[in-house]
Amino acid sequence: MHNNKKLVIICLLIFTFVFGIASNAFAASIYYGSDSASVKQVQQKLKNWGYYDGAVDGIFGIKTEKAVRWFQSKNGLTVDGKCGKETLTAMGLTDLISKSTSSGGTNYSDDVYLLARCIYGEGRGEPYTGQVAIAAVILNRVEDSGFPNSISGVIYQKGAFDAVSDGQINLTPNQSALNAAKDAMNGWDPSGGAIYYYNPETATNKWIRSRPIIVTIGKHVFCK
Amino acid sequence: MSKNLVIGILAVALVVLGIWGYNTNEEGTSYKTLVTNTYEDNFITLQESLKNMESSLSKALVATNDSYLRNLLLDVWRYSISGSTAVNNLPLSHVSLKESCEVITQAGDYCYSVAQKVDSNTDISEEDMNNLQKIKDGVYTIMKNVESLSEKFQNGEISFLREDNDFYLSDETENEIDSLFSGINKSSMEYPKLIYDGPFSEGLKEQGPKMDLDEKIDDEKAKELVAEFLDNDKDLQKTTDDDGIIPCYIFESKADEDNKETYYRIKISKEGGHVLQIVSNREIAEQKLSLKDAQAKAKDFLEKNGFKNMSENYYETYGNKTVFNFVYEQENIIIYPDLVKVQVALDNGEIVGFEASTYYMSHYDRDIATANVSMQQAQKNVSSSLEITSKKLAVIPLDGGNEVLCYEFKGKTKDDEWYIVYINADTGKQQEILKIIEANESVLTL
Repeated sequence: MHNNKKLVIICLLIFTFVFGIASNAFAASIYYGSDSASVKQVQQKLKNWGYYDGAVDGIFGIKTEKAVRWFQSKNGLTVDGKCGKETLTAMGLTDLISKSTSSGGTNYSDDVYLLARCIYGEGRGEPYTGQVAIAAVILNRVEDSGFPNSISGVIYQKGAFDAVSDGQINLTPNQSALNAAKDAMNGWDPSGGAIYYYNPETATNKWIRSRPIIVTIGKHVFCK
Repeated sequence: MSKNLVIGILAVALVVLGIWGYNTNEEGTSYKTLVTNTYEDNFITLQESLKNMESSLSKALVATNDSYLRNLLLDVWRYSISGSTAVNNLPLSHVSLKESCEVITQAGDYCYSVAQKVDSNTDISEEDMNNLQKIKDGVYTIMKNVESLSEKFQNGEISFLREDNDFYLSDETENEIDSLFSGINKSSMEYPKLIYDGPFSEGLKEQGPKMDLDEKIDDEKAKELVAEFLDNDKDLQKTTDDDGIIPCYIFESKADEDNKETYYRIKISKEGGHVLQIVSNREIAEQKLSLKDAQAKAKDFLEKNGFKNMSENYYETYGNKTVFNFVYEQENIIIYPDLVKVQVALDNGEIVGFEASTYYMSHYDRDIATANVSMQQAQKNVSSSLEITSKKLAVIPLDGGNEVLCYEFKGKTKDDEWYIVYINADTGKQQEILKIIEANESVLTL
């Protein structure tokens, strides 16, 4: 009888697991891939309270997730490993909640916000200049007759940006990406008028490698 | 009994999983259908647009110069917009689509500029007619290629979706379509170089700076000039060059030893050693400076670096910094193309950004013609629904890279909506109307 109970529980667990994955909706929270400044704050809190013994490095990894889960179970919260609204409130990091919904006082127009999302998805590990340059390439394309004539048209063109194809564009952009988008809109173009860029370590397209190079910023090569 | 219970549970599990799997599959199929339908919609829209463009262009070639010709040309422009939107929404690599898109967009843009000629009773030159003929041939080539593709889709030879649940094309199909589209290149169809007054004019890409930038300097001299420009001797490191329209040296300086992440990146032209751009990633703390003080800092910075006769015209604040726009003034005429922008950090007043590429691209010693119409005459052409608050002369840039002298009238309606109306100082006709959109933290200071 005891064994059967175990089986029932295992069966139920499988269900919850399968349906858990199926119904995993996207929610704004601090999790894998979140911006390092926010993750650092979470890690510091968890470390101070003894839940976390890894490095405060701003990278949300398996150790951080385990620490978050432990914190959640100790505090009677839903144990999901993500720092959502409730968990952040319990940690006393309420300023990070507002960060994920609005962005510090200024309202950004839809165009700027979309641009910032693309910058964040494509180049959040890049130097700031490189982020401004990515935005500038998008704006240069809008002006070019060979590309769509709007920011959204350029960004959502099939296969144009990896971050769009793999959904990373839907992450919440940080302040740096928003500033980069605004700088580019205001006329800063560190790419020197480029309409393409690629990472020479990962690019496989032969054609793009044949384009005349204008400038290299961070990991990206910007070209005509 | 216990055995039965386990079997029962497993049976239920199987049924539930089955239903779930079925639903997921159904869901997948309906998404696929949706995506395929969207692609087909775009494909057919592209075909229709090309057909209509071709037909209107053919008619235009046999039409005489009057409003009917103008309407035909505007039709080409209208269909080119739907055509370029459709072609860009196909699941093809943007690289192979680029030239087709260029032909479609430029065809419309060029027709629009010819239509404007018809409107202003300017004669249409033989060159215009030749260009229209060649544009028609170009559109026809694309149309034929798209038609042959369409047949393959209809016969089921190729499909927009690949078998393995990927929303992108199979490699074979992609190669086939790519080669059809990349086969469309301007050189093979003797496509003309279109230089005209429009945003996609070919001439724009090749335009260099209007003024002579002066002798080429070496990087040592450039380094000195950058230090002088920034007014400090921070450790400047030369990085890769910029081979853009104005070739530049690039220097980077770190803020200080404690703050290695923060840097300033300075672009200086190889010819003449003009600083074109400064970008900094410094995180700016809470605002301590008033906007007035920040503005004074920006103005001082420009004056110190030899920018004379600059008047402030717009500013915007974000990320605790303010971007001030300055325009050049010559004999009390505002020269809008000559624009310089300065970013001031609001925590300590430091200059964290500078942009003068536009200025060096467009600035030169202008010989501004005297206005043909008087300000009073020009004002007669401004809508009476506007209460004019300020007026002056200004040179404004046109889409095709040219400039025109205008009277600038700023005024508001009785609903408190603000507009700037530009009246051509030569013809007395309306050149452009700008609507002022109030945004947070941005102020126009005309």
